[in-house]
This record gives sequence, structure tokens and C-alpha cells, in this order.
Amino acid sequence: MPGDIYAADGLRHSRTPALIGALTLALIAGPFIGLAFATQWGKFHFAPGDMGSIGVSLGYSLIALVLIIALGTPLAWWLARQSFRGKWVLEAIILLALLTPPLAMGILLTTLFGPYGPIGNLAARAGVEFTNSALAFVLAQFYGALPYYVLAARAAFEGVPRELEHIALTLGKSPWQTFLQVSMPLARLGLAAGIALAWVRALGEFGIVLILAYYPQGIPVKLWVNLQDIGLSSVYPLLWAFFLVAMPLPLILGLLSRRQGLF
Amino acid sequence: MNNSSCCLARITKGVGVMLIGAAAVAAPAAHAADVLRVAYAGSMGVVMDRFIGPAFAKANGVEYQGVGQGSLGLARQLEGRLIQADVFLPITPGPIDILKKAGMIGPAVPVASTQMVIAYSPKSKFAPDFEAAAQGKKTWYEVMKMPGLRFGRTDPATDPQGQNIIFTMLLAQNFYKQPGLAERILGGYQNPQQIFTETSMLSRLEGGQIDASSGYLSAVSSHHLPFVYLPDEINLSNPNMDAKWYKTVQFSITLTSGKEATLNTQPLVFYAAVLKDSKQPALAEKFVQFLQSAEGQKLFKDNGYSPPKGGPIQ
Repeated sequence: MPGDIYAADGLRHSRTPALIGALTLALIAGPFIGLAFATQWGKFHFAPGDMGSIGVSLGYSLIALVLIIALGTPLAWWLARQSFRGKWVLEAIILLALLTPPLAMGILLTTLFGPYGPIGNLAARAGVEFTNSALAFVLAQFYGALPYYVLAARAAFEGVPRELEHIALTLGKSPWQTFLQVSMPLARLGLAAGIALAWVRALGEFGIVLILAYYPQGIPVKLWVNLQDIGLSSVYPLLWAFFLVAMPLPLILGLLSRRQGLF
Repeated sequence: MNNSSCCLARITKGVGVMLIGAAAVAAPAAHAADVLRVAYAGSMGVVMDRFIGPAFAKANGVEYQGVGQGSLGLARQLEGRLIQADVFLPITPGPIDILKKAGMIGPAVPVASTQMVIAYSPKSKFAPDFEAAAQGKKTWYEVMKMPGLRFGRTDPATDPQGQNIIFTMLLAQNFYKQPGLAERILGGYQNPQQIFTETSMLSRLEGGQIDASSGYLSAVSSHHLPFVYLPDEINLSNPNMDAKWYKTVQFSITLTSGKEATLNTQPLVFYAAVLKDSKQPALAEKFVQFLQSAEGQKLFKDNGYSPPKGGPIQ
């Protein structure tokens, strides 16, 4: 067929995906090319409090991520491997969490954990603050990113052929060993993608944080405050810093899980 | 298989240890200091977060936390018990009345005031025309009528400033004897092509995506944006103009609740009130006194605010 090319593996490939792919990539890259031009490199400086917001975002996102992996992985595995009546209800609950607009989720969490909410009120009496505190911040990120991780991890586990798990079990491996030595390695690509997705979602969470944890100010809220108080010029430097600190983890996870080098 | 799984287990374990370690290091320590929470009119961001808040925090050894949004929206959030604050600092008496009705605040004292101005973008192609208007060489509303000019304002349903610019235009219509001026410039009270959130409006103005916008003198001075002064008869700042001018205009809009509301002008005064369910009533009271003190007033003045006008709202 005309337009086909012979790739390095000696097989014929169509050009179409590459062409459309390049166009799509150009669309994605557009805003960032714009950002590079909009940034005043000569006057590049951070606003007061920017560094603190980077620490807040990174530190608490890591804590949220550990919680998400610890609590989300068993749930994802259970959903992927067990079938029972009424399972759709569980799936609907996860979809509900996924569908709720972040701002609405912030309001819902506030009605529960806020200063006047049933849990928030009880906790406040015990001296635990669920609003504008480190705890609230992690909670906001946890709710923002967990459903994404569960869906991705579940898909990853579903992609593991059950036969291989059965073989391992018949060879005398315990279910736990089978999980660690067969399922996990085979699902690693999807799991890494899920962790990367959760990380990105947690770091970028704005809607929930805005309502539940305006303080301590992480990067997304600080971007908003900078825009309000100082103006556009103070947004770009912090945005660059955000990319710099947010990028390594998903990038490394992708490389490790695909076992590919940088070059 | 075995090889890869052991390697992966090691990676997983390594990543886990790394994560927990990094989280422990990076997570900032919790503050033990008392926290004062102030919910203020969105336009006050600069003076509150960068001057008054830090000055008060330093003098009293407390932590200051400010939240700025549209005054009416904040009042609704406080009323709906979505957010908690110690001090409420809106512009105009309207938002104060909402919390008065809910029985959530005591007396509200005036702490500063401002006036309506027309801010313009230094990057706009109309900037020279506005500059001429600012120097009195052109009439500002003739500039505003120029074809292709993009004007920005906030939502009259949720933000007092969005209502005030409409009043200003209606007053200008009478003052300059220009029938139809408001319609000509605004294109309908709730014209979606002109309405932005305050934050987005100011950034677009700065970036030159809109040519001019409504503004409070206080906020545009804080943002160092160029602007055109408006006469007292139409800028809503002078209580002496109340009976003769400000009280003569009103308009009706559909509020977010779907209700039709007829609105009247309110003085552009910033009020401060302590919330009854404040966790730090003494500190909140102290903060309101600081706003009224010579030091607080100087910080307001340095940031383009005018002195408080009128008496407290009991």
C-alpha cells in the first residue's frame, strides 16, 4: 500500500498513526510552548511563600500516595478477581467518586469532616482539625486521586492471565506468593501508570482543596492566590517549579516498568 | 519470572521506603501558634495577605490565614457553614446583612472605603485613548464606545462590584445626559461576553486580552494598573452624593437562585465584623481594632484605600 513504511523490524507499518499522533502531540504541546514564550525569563523570580507551597504539595502528596497505594491496591485486586452478586454497586460507588466534580466533592467532604460536620465536630473536640490542616490537605488529595488509582490498578490486574496464577497455585505457591511473584510483576505496567496517575491527580487537586484545605497552601492554591494578589507574572515561575518537582516520579515509574533506558 | 519478580519486589520496597522517608522529611511541621482566619472581599488580596495580615501576625505572635472571594459568595459560604472564619471583611453592607439575618455576627465597623474607576490594559490598542481620558483630554465614555473595545466586569449576581459598575453606568447616563449609554457599553446587565471572575478579569486585563474593566481604586492601585478616575457623582464613594445621585438609580436582575431582585446602591465601604462562632473571639476583636488603628489605617492608605466612611452597622 502506498504511504506505508518499512520500520526497523523489517515489517510494513502504516504512516497514519504517526501522522495523527504528531498532530495530537502538537495540540498537547501548544500551551507549554505558549508558556515558554509568556514567561519573563529575565525577571524570573518566586513570590513570597512559593517555596513553602512546593514543600507542602510534595510532602503531603507523597503521604496521600502511600495511603492510596496501601488502601487502593487490595480494593482493585478484589474488584478484579472476585465476582459476586451486586458487585455493580461497588463499581457504581467508585464511579460516583470519580464523577463528582472536585468542587462538589470538597463541599461534600466539608459537610462530613468540616467544622460543623458530624465527624469534624467530634474530631475537633478531641483536638484533631479536619479543616485547613495537614490532615485536611492529605484527605483532599486522597479523595481526589484514589478512584483513578483503583480503576487503573483494577484494569492492570484484570490484564493478568488467570491461567498463570492457577499454574503458580498448583505448583504449590501460596496465594500471597502468587500475588507477589506472578500477578504483581505482570500487572506492573498498569500499576505504574495508576501510581503515576494518582500522583498527578493528587498534586494538581484544586477544587477539593479550595474548600477543605485552603491552608496549608499547596502549589495549586498558591497559583490562584498569586494570580489574585500579584498577577499573571507571578504564576509562571511557580508553574515551572511545579513541573520540575511533579515530573520525576511518573517519568521514573514509566521507565522502570517498561525497563527502558532514557536514551 | 523469579528473577524479575525479586527485582520488582526490591524496586517496590525501595520506592515504598523512599516515599515514606521523603514524605516524613518534606511534610512541614504543624504550626502550634494560634490561627486567625479572615474571610475578606476578593479585591483586598494584596493589602490583606501581604501587608495587614503579616503585620498583625508578627505583632501578636499568631498565624494569619486569609481567604479572599466575592463578598456575597463568602457570606453565603459562612451562612451555609461551609467555611469557618474569625473575622468577616466584605465590601458594602449587603453581605453583612446576610450574616446579620443568620444571627452570626455582632456589630460591623467601617475600616476603609474606595471608589469605582475604569481600569485599562497597558497592552491594549486603546491604551493611548484611555491615557488621554485619564488626563482629561478625552471623555472616558467616548473611548468606551469605540468599536472593538472589549470590556470586562464581574457577575452582578454574586459580586458587589459587578452590581456597582452597572450603577456607575446608569449614573453616567444621567450625569452626562447620554440616554442609552449603559446599554451601549454593557450590552445587557448579565452579558456573558463581559463577565469573568475577578481573578480572571484582572489577569486578562494585565495580559491585554480585555482592554478595560470595572475596578475599585484600591484594588487597581494595589495591582499597579493604569486607570481613569470617575466624578464623585457616579463613583459611589461620596456619601454627600447619596440623596441627589446614588439613590436615583436601581435595576433588576435575575439572581442565581432564579429570583428577580431590584437592587439599589450601597456605599463602597469595607466593614469588619467578628463572627459569633469564632474560635478566637479576643484575637478577632483585637484584629478589628488593629484595622482601625493608626498603623492599620496607614497600611490601607499606602495600598490605595480611602478612609472609612459612615457609622457602624449595629
